[in-house]
Amino acid sequence: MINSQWGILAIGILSYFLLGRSGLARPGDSQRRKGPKKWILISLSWIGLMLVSFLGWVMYHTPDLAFIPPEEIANGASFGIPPVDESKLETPELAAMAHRGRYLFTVTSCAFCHGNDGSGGPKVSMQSFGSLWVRNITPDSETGIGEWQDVEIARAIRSGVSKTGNVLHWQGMIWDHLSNLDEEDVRSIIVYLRNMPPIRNTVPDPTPPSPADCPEYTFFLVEDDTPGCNL
Amino acid sequence: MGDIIRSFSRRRIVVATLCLLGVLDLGRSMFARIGYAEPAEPWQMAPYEAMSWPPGEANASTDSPGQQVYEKRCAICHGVNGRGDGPAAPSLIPRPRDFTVGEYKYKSTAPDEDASDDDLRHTIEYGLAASAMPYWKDILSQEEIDEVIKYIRAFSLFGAPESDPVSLNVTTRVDATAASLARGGLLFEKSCSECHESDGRGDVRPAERIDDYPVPTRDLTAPWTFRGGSEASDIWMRISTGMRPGPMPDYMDALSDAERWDIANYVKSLQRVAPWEAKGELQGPGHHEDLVKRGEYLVHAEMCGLCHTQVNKDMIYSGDEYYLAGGMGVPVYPHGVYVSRNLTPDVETGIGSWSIAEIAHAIRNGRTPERLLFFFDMPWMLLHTLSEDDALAIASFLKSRKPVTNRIPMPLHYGVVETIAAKVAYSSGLPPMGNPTRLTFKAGNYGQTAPHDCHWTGHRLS
Repeated sequence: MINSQWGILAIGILSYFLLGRSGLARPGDSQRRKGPKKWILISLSWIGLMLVSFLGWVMYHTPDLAFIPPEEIANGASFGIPPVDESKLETPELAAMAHRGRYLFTVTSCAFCHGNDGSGGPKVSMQSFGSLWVRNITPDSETGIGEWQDVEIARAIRSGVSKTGNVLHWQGMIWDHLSNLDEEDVRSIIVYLRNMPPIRNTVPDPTPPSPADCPEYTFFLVEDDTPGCNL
Repeated sequence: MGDIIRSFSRRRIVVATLCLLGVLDLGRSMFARIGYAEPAEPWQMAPYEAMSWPPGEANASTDSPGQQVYEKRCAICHGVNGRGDGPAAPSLIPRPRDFTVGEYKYKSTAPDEDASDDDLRHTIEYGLAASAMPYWKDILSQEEIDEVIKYIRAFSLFGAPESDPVSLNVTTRVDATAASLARGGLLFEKSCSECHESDGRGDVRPAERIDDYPVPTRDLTAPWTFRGGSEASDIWMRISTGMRPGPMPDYMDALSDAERWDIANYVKSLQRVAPWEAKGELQGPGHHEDLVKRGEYLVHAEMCGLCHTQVNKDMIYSGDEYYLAGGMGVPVYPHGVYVSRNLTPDVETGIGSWSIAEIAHAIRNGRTPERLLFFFDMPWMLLHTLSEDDALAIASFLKSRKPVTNRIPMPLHYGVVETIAAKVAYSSGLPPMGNPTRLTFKAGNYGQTAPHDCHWTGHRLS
């Protein structure tokens, strides 16, 4: 029912060519459409119609366009995830861990929330936990986690306890899932996080639950430093 | 009749067709708003306890100090009532300790004795290595730890021990000589290799399920993952006391003190070079050669369950059999309303009829046998980075699971006119992507778990 547009369109086109002919006999029609001008007009309007339809089709389906190879889209999406800077790593073993860490940063979706550069920012709001902002996890010493020890970062990843003892909501920072990461992988992620370029970005502190927060779990994709569900 | 046909001028046909299409388009826009407004079924209830947030804020000052610390620090995993059913518990492997049973894996007392206060204190202060149980020694004071131990003890249905149990006397370690290692090797083959395998690598896949909770076997070549410590004396203690209520038995009576030292020495000798040390290599479960085992690790450590499992209104996952059975509604304006797919191998409603290669292709390239996956919804553009082997591993694990019926409706899309207008109005730059401003994750099940011939209460349109 909801996808019957093609049927309607087909019936429309069919009747245009089959039934429509019997309605042709109107005085003046034959005179108006005489000459080469008629064909130019008809061709131009068909080309225009197809162009507009194509543009509309592309716009409607963007970004899900089958003719763009997935590699292109993926490269665009992971563009800006910093490459491993091996000059900062003392041993080839640590470099291997940093590469593993970058891989996990991408595929365990750290990048999905914290951003490709790790600088955080997006707001998450829900009435059961309030408003919180994705933290800056670059090694910036003031606004990031540059001053955190390795064990403190590991504790935040696996147990949702911050350096100062704050409890992180498991639906904000998904530490309950990440607690299943193996020790080798957690340490690899930490090696990579320390290897990232530091970015100065102050993120607001979380606010307690309030009726102004969203009734349902809402992740904001646009920057918004005001607590609550409003944009 | 002839008059009616004659009245079909081409102009009228064009106008009528456009009108019909317009009405249909408007209908689509309207239906996208009301179609999946409410879940078809509530979340399958399982006994997980909700809690107020931030934890501990709602406590009265008259609550005992132990209760205040517990509800602020511990209840999120162990549950307000100590049953190991806190809101974060469903994703943890193994599940958090259930304090009502009164048994603790990491203790220094005889196998049939309660753990001592010092055992609990050690676990709270230092945590359990490489697990979700964190260390608290920099955050909690000694008094707070003492109070919370009292509070935890009170949960036990068997009552707190009358007197503090006495720790075992750690006998003098047998030197790790070649003879000791040889004896330990023989004993290990006889007593330990059934679960830990001869090379000590164990089985990454949960060896045994207790109350349907998976309990992984420890990889004995990676002492940095030993929850109870990696010193020879720690290993000796684990062999002596066992790890009840887990599957690790005690060898207090079956083996002599010296024999247990021989095994502890042998286990120490199995240690491989840590990946962060010279010539070390990454060999964790993410590198397992068995793709099903590797996939199980990756799926649990990744975020798959976050969207592909239903949640209740308190955002607690369905940790029961509906894990990965999909059904979460995710409206993404102005694109459509999506419902996460059923990833269990059910032939009719899940991915049972897909090949492993097709699943891997969907994860990495966002293309399924039916359609393109929308990438604000399923982040395949990041998962494209997955190696081919890891994607196949995830697919193999998904195919190896128990099928669950959960019929997932197809995505609903807004009308063409509305989508294009919204993309033009809200997008900056070309081409207009119509990036959603927010992603909403809805509680409840938007699928249908009942058999097909049952009355369909949801909305199924495709």
